[in-house]
Amino acid sequence: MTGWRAALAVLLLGLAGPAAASELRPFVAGSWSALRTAHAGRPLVVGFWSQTCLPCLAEMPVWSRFVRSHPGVAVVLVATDPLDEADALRRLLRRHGVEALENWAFADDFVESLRFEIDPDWRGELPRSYLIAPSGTVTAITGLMDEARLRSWLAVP
Amino acid sequence: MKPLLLPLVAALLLGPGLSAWARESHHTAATPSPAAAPAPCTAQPTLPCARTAAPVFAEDGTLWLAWAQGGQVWVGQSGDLGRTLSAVAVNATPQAIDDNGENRPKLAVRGSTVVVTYTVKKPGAGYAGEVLLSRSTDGGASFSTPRSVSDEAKPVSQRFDAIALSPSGRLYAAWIDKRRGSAGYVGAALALGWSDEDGSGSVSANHIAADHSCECCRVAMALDSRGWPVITWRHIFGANVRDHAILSFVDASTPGAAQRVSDDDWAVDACPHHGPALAIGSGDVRHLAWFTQGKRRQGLFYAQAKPGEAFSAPLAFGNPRQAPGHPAVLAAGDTVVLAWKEFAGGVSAIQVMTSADGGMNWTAPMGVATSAGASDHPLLVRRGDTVFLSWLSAQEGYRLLPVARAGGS
Repeated sequence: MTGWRAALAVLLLGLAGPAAASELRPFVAGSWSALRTAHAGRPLVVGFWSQTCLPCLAEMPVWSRFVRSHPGVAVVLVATDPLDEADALRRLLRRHGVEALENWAFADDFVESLRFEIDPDWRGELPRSYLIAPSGTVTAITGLMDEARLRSWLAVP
Repeated sequence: MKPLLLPLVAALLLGPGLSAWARESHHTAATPSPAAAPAPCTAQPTLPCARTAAPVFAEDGTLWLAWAQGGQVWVGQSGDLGRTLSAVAVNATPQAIDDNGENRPKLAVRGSTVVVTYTVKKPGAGYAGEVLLSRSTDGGASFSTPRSVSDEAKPVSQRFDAIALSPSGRLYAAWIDKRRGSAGYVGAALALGWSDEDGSGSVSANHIAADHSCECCRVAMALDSRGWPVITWRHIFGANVRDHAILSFVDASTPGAAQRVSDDDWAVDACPHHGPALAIGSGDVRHLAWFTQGKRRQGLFYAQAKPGEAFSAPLAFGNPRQAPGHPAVLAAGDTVVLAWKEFAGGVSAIQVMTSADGGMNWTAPMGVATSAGASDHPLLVRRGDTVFLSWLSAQEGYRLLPVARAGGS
């Protein structure tokens, strides 16, 4: 099952080319490490969300405001919904004006393993955010992101 | 009906940790079954291609399973503990079925009546769903056209359904309902509906049993010795404390008030996606298992209560270093069985522990199965005095493994 779903992920999400608007990259084993490596050396914020999670949708305006006011910070969103919902995810990202961010979606049903790579202490609660300082220090936050907290983290990352 | 072969993996995967009893009494022949290599998933119905499976043993020992595949809910029955299944589709037209460990299609069987509920996704600004109900009165040979359980002219949203069929033929349904989701309303609501006792038709006028439920965790229901339902769910206490509540009926058609189960103090503006489990044993004792990341305690917990009494002090179970989660509980007389999933990199493992004295004393946890890939939450189901783990996983297929013996009444 994993094999054919992963193949479908590639078809549905699209792997080719640089990040374009509304591109959803398939988040699989190894993606977390690749994502962190790609943004190493500057502040990185990764927000995990799901369309089934109302606090996650309430959080979308926080991200769209924050990226406008802090262009030097990399903001990456990762949807934990199954890959066959890519169309609905794209619609939501567009509606909230965050479709141009670097967006990923879980593309492996083995979610325990994906979460473990990210953070063994993360049990699946959403929204879940990771603030990663240029030094590599990681701060994990469960629940609706507070913009003041983002700003204070940037001041003293 | 479409027959299909269901390769059943049993003894060889039980592992060395299982008790001598389980090793000796497992139900497969001495010749090992072939591993449950997934069949091509273009064929329907193929249980190993599903993400989740809901098991029920009927009174006659028939194993019933419900699962979603290709946008259809399939109901299969097996007279040989799952080695072979005959399955029929519930919905003729494919739908966007919510199908994950927290919200799977549900199944209830009593006599020739089979009831299925499932959630169809309605993606939108505020994620919504519609819970549909279908009934078979001919022993699962055919199913009625699925209809909404909601009594609203324009249903808003129902998700996380739970059902039970009482011995009198009354169907009880509970779900998380968003009809009261006006501005400033915290969370969702626990809604209930029930049928007449003749076992026909859909559910009655809906009853909002509790305002301010958590929106994203499964609801658990069990019947007491009178056939009345008891329901437990993750509630929102105050502004944002997501602890558990329980509700009992005061007669067959009157729900009582919600009561708090424990004070975990999990204040979080987030969706845990991690609901409780409930079983009722002798003396109508309620046995609960749940997950929390509260200020007072974190991890998996078990507690019990006699009707109308306070719950016992929560008992922690599971290895806190192995991410224990998604518990199942089964009670039969004074036997209580807990199953849960652990993962610490590599493979997921299902752990089981058993109490023979109504939850007072417990065996050590025992690993009974592992999976090297995606897997469903573990479920427990009983036939006679044998308690089985029911577990569907992507690489290993469907497994029905004897894990405990239910003694006494």
